[in-house]
Amino acid sequence: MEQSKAIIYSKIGFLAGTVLLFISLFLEWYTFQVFDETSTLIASWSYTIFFEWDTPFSSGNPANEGYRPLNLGVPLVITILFIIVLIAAVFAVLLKDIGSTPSATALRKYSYLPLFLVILTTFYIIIFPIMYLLPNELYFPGLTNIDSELNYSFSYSISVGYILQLCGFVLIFSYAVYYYITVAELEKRDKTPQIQIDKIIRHVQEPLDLDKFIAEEQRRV
Amino acid sequence: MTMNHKILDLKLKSLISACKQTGNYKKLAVVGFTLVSNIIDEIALKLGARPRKKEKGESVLRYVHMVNEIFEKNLSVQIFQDEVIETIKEVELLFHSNRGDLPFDYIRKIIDMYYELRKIDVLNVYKGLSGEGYYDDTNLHLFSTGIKGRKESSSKFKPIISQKISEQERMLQKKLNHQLDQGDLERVILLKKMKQGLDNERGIAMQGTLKDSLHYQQNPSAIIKFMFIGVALLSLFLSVIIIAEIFLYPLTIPPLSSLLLIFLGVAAVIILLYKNTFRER
Repeated sequence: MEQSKAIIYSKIGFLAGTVLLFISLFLEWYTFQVFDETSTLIASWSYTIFFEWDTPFSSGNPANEGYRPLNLGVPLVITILFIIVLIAAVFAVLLKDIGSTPSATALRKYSYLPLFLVILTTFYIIIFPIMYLLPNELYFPGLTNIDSELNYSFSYSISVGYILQLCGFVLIFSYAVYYYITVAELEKRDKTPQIQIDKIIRHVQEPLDLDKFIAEEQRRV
Repeated sequence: MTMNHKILDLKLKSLISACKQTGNYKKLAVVGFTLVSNIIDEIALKLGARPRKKEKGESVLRYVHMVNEIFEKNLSVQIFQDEVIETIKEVELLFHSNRGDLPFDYIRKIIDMYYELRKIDVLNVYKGLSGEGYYDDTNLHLFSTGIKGRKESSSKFKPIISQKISEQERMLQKKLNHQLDQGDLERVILLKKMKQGLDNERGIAMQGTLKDSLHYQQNPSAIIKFMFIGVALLSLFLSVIIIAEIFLYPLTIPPLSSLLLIFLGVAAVIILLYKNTFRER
């Protein structure tokens, strides 16, 4: 694959990944279902990051209400931050292209945005199951448990929203890290010769201890 | 004025008043001469000249001549003006023959010269030329891009471009010989590069954006590396979650162990692939 094409594809991948991540916020991340002995669905709850648990059953269904999982309480502020960072990262990647900017220093602050988006996605991928699903006995990534006494089967499974988060992570990771590291390295390259020349200047120049000279003269006075 | 310069000025002022009281002007002469020598070293080094060969006894005057010669030959720009050279000539000779003892007028002259030299807004050539904003006051930017793609048609315009560049160059050289300015000096160097590019028949090589950077050109292979890392990391993340789940609910070991093995296996295969693919490079 031609090298410049790799960058273009990766950038397209990043943008596609952000679209998936954005869509995932409005889709269900986890599904919990209960089937009776005749395999009839008697309870179904789906979790969305914005609206917590939702059900296709009407609100008056006692069996369904009885199996409602507890609210997970994922902080809404993180979701809002995620959306802000996601939008900002898309703008940074689209408008602050590494190839067409004359100075790496100008890109420094923008290079953090895609990386921060990766960190937030990682939060959802790891922290959401460990901190919110597992303590509520919601198994990951999926499990079917049969109650031998009632002969009911309980189905736990991650849903399309979470799967889109996983796909989004893979798509955004390479370009986000590439963007950050390239800017950092280009900036380092810009700065290094200046640091070196400053060192040479200091080495070449004759040292001048004016404080010592002043003290000597003042002593003579 | 930088903080270092402010501190130095204050110290120099204290030293002058102390030396005036003691009458020890030799110390002031040594300090003044060292300051001039240091600032000349700084200017020359920032402009890309070699360091002064002090151990071989290269005088400041000879060094200043050498710097001027380089810039006059290449850019027709005089970095150190005639008055500065004249003062250095007078002072350096006297300074060495009198072993650092200079008459008061010369000390004043040398300190004045130090402040004059400090005013020079010198370009640090090591910072690199970005090309941004160089043509604000000209129409040369029309020729700076897209030349490669239109080689044939551009050759028709070559004499016009060349003439335009020369005009700009002459104007800037005149300006620079009157007063040295960092921006103008950068423009002159860039015009010189453009001129060389035209003569080379290969179009104008512009280092305008990061796209032209060698590092950026080499870097795309890193993207494939990061893809490998991303997938391996994701597999490891999922493995970590499953391990945590197994610890919390040991009953889940039978259904999840195979899944855990798959994720760990994927991570291991990718890490091995990564090592084999990129270690050799």
